Amino acid sequence: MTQPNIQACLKGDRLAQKQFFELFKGKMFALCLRYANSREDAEDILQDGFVKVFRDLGQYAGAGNFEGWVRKIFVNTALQHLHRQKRSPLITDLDGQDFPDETDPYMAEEPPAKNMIRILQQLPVGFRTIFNLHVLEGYSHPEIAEIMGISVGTSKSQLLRAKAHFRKLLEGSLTA
Amino acid sequence: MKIMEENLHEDKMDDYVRKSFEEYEASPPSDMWNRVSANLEDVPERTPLWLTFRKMGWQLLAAGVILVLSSTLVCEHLYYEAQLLELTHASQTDGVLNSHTSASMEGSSSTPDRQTPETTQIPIALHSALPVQHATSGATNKQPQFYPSQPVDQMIQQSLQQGAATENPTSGEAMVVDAVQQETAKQLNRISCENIQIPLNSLQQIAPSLPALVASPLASQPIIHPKKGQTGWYAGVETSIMCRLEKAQTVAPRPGRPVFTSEATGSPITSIYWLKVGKQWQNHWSLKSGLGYQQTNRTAIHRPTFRFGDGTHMGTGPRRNFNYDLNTSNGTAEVSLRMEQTQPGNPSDDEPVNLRIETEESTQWIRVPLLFGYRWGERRLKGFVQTGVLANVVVRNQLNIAARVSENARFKPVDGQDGYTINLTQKRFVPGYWLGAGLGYQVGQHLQIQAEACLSGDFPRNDLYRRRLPERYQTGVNLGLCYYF
Repeated sequence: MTQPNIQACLKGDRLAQKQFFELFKGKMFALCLRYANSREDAEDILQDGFVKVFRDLGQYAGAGNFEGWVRKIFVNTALQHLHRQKRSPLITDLDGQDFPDETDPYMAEEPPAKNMIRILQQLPVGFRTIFNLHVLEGYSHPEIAEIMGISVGTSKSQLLRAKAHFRKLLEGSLTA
Repeated sequence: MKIMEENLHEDKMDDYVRKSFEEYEASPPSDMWNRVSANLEDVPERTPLWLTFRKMGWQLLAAGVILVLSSTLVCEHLYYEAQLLELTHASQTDGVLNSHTSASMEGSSSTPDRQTPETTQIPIALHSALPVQHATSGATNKQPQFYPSQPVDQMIQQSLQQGAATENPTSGEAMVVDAVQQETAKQLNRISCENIQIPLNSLQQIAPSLPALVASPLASQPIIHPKKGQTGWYAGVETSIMCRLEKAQTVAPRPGRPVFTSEATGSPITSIYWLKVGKQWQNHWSLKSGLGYQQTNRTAIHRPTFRFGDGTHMGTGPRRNFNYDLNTSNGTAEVSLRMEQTQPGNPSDDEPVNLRIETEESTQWIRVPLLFGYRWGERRLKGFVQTGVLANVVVRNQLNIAARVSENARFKPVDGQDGYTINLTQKRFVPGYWLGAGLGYQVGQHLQIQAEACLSGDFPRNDLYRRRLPERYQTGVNLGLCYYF
C-alpha cells in the first residue's frame, strides 16, 4: 500500500488529502457498511470519519499501524452514529422471536463479503455491533463491555446469539 | 464434546468471515470526496495552547513582567508587615514606658554619646511602612532607637516657637511631630521603626502647652499617623487582555430577503490599550475616564441556503443573483451573490443552492470610559471595585468575503470581483458598560500597580431595520500602572 503523505495532509493540502481519501475509501466504506443500518447511513459515517481523521491527523504519534489508527477512528465514528440514531437499543433480546429470513436469491452469487454485509445489516444493531467488534476488529470482551457500557457477561452472551443468528442467515443464503 | 464442536464450528465461521472481508473494498458514491472536502472547510483548526500564547507575544511578556513585579512587591510588603508586627510585640512585652539607667545602657556599644541614658524614654510610634533599618541598643533592649542629630528638646522648642508664631498651639504640636518625623527620616534615611524613643523630660517640659500630652499617660505617646493614602489626580496606562464572547440572535427577514447569521470561528482573544486619568477623593472614591484603542478581527462562517428559483436572472446568461441580509457582530450586511451552473441544462426551481461562506471582519474601536470606583484597605495593598459606562466609537470597519464554497456540485460561485457585493450598514456609536474588581498595590508615594478582573459588553443593539444584533461581551484581565500627582 502506498504511504499517505501525512505532513501534507496536516498542512491542508487538498491534493494530498484526496490521495489519502482514495487510499482508504474502499476499505473504510466496507467497514462503515458492516456497522450501518443502510447504505445511506454508511455514507454518512464514511463522510464523518474522514473529516475526523483529517482533523485529528496531528494526534497520530507515528507509532503502530497507521491503517489500524484510521480504522479505529472509523469504528468509533460508526458507534457514535449508531448511538445517536437510537433507533433501537444496542442490546437486543430476541428470545422467542422468529428471525426474518429475507435472503436475496441472487445473494450467493455475489462476492461473499457483499453477501455478508447484507446479512449483517439484517442483524439487530446490538448483535451486529458486538459481532463486528469481536469477530472482525478483534476486540476482547472486556474492551467491548467498556465501549458499549455493558457487562462482560452480557457481551459474551450477546455475541453467542449474534453468531447463531448470523450463521442461520448465512446458511440460508448459501443454500438458497 | 458438543460444546467443543460448536466452538470449532464457530471458529471456522469466524475465519471464513474474516477472510471474506480481508481484502474487500466497497465503492462509495462518486461525490463522496466533494462531500468530505466541503466538510473539511468547516473543520476548525485546533490551535495548541502554547501556540495561542506565542501569538500573544509581547502582551504576554508585559503581563508576565507586571505579574512578577507585583508578586515581588506583595512579598516585600508581607515581609515588612511581619517585621513591624514583631517590633510591636517586642514593644508591648517591654512596656510602653522604659526606664533606662546608665548601667543598663553600658552594655550597648553602639549607643552614641549624645544619648542621655539617665532620661526616661517615651516610644513614639511611627506607622511608616517604609523599609526597616533600625538600630538596637543591645540584647537587653530590642526596641529600635532614634538618635536625633540635635537635642530633641531644642528641636521641640524650635517647633513650638514656630507654632506660637502662628498662634496655633495645635499647629505647634503637629510641627513637633513633623519635626521628629523629618529628623528621623534624615537620620536613619530608611525608617520603619514602630517605636522611637525620645527623652521624656523633653516632652515634659513642653507638656503644659500640649494638651494631648497632658491628658493621660497614654497621650504622652504622640502617634505620628501615616501619610494619607494616594489621593488627588492620577494618570495611568492599562492593558486589557480580553476574551470576546457572542450570542447570536434570531431575527426576522425583510420581505423577499432572507437573513442569515454568521458565527465567529477565529481566536476570541483581543487587547485594549488604555490611557486613563482620574481623581481619587476621601481615600475611597474615584472617578476615571480616558481613551482606549482596540482592534478586533473576526472570522465567521454562515450558510445561506436558497432554491434555484429564488435567484434573479442576470441578463441572458446562466448566472443568477441571490440576495440576502447577513446578521454580523457589528451590524447588518446586504450581500449579493452570483452563482452559475457547472453543467448545461435547466435545473428546476426547487434545486437547492447551498453555500458556505467565510467572512473576515476587521474593526477598530476607540473606547471612552467613565468609571466610578471605590477602594478600601489601609495599607499598601488595596482592593477596589469599579463600574461605569463606555462610549464605543467605530473608527474603521471592513467586511470581506474570504471564501465561498458551493455545497451543490451543479452550481458554483462566479469567480473574481463580479462574484459578490457586500455592503455593511452599522451604527458608529455603541454604548457599553464595564464592571471590574481587583487589587492595587502602592509602590512608593506616587505609583500604583493594579490588576483587575473585568467584564465589558455592549448594551442591546438593533440594526438599522430595528432587528436585534448579536450580543457581545468581553471578559478578561486589566493590568495597569497609575501615577498619583
